[in-house]
Amino acid sequence: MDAGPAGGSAPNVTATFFVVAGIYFAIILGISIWSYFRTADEVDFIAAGRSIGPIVGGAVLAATQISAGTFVGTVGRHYLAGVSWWYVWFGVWAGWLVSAFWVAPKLRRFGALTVPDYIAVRFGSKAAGALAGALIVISYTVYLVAQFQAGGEIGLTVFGMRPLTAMLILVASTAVYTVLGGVRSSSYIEFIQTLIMVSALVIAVPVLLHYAGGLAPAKHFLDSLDPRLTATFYGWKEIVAFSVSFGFSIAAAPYEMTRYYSMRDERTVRRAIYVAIGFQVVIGVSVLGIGMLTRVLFPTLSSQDLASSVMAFEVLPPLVGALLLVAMLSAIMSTVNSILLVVGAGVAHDLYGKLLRPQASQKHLVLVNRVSIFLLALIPVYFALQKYGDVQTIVVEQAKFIASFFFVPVVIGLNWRRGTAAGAGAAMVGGFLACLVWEFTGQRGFASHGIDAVEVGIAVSLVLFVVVSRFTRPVPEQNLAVFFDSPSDRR
Amino acid sequence: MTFLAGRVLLALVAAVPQGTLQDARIHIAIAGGTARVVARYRVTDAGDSIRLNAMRVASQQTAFDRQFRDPWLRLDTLPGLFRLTAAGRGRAIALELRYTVSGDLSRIPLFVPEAPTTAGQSRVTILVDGLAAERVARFVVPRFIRDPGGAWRAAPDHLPSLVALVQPESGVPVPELAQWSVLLIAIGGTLAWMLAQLAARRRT
Repeated sequence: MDAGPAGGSAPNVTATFFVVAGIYFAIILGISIWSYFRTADEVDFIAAGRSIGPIVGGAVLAATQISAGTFVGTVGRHYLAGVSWWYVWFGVWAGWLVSAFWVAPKLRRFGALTVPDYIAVRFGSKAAGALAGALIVISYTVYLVAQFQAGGEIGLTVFGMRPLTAMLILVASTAVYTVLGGVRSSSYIEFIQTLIMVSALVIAVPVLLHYAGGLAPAKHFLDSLDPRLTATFYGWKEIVAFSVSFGFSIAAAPYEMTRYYSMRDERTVRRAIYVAIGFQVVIGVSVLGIGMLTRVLFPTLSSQDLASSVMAFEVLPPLVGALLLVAMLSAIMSTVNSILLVVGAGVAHDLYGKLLRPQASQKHLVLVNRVSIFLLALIPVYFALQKYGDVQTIVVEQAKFIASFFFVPVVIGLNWRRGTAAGAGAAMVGGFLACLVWEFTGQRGFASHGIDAVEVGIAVSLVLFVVVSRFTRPVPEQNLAVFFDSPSDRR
Repeated sequence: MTFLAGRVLLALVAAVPQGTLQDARIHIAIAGGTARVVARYRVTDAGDSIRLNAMRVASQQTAFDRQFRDPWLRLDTLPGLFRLTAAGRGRAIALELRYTVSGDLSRIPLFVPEAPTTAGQSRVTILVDGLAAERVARFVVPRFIRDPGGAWRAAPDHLPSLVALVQPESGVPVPELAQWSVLLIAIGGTLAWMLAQLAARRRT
């Protein structure tokens, strides 16, 4: 344990952090090297040999979902807006349940390697698969920006480090374990990351509560500071819009769905989703407490994104603070890792392997995948340095776009036989563009009409999918067989 | 394409400018059961007025030197919170506050302006003297360093709403328990993992 002030000097979080982080990175490196020697082909690299069970799988899904958006962005939103942001979690969990019942089992049964694989086979069109791959790469570039920006904030707050330096260290360390072991190492590392995240968050809340003087004094303080913090900072229209963005994007999130492919079977996938929701309930409640209690202790921060790192550095005991900082880095790294796996696979498997060099060997595809991961990790660093907005805003924006172009082809496409390739293409492009156009036009009048870009995007996507599919040739029966194998599924 | 789309999507959000807390110098002199606080603030770009908020702790009494009869400075006593509103005279507002806290000193409230600090430009210093070594808590907020004269000094990047330097007289030592629980979880988790590995090996 660290020497306290009574010993003559303040406990040193930075030094403790380096010790805790050193142990953590040693474990990660060990798992990565172990996985490297067990990765022989593309199925091993992208789907961990389809060997992941429900507990590890659930922790992996939770770790993938819990990102900088949660540790930095959601804590920040609770810091800024109080309790009302918490209701958004119900949208997230609704999205998970939709995925558990109507998406995950069918995708796992299909047993592909990537989500564009599903699009290409389900709709009988390589072009639709490539389009999905391209849109995934674009949207997830934005998501990576949020993760890197959060890494920069932590580096600046805790170590006084230049954000660029912090981001490059983050990119390098994450890319190394992603490139070395693929999904197999990621899965075991993310299991550990989830345990670290849950422990750190659960331990932090009582400490903050102790310094705030307890629940009632904290509530009185926040009530008087800004009554909206304990009531409704966001109105129901905004809550619905945020929930729709997250819920619809989670139901069809490519980086989550890729993880379904690595699990043993359909039953494992469903059980893993329930485990993930369990982890997220604990994390959600803790994050709410941390955000609001940090507002009590540091009422005026220049950016809400600073709340979690200031709290970890200035308030928590060194070991707890260091653990939380490592947990924050873990959250960022696990999400960056998942996204890199998806975009790397999008480039290597869906674009390069399917369209450019179909005759490429397994070894060659794994190499292309690894190189793509490194290159694609560097692009978002530029945007993160521009700091266009707070972390959670960026996360919400990318969720809107994912929901707008992917929810309909994935969720409706898996449950409606009549959907065609042209319909899926129109739904993806139309949903994406409708969301984008509304952001620059109708979104300004949100306060009066309450219609968000994500709702417009999904509605346009759905209409285009149904109408265009009705007027185009149905997908051949052999493409549908794996997805619609029972009579009850038939139209 | 990724580059352009990323730029377009990210241009959708923008930050809101605020006033800045340029300087906050807090001096706390502890004598027996009271803490005498002298706090000086300088805020720039604050507009017409600035509000400062401080926690009202139920187990404490707070006595202000000033009567707050000036039209430019008003004190509101709200549930759980003191709010001071200072009218701006020019773009920069400089303010000095003096008050005495008695009772439970484990958390000494500070007034925090509703203008944030700016990294690299603002300066926050908190100095606490008169505190006997045996009364210092094991874990403190914010991070303090003891100077050669025996005073405690902190220079946080952001101004906290309290100073928790004095050991509480009673209650559960939550920060200590939290610190130990990290070690217990780490050791327990490692043991559980080793047992699981042993059990799996026996099965095979």
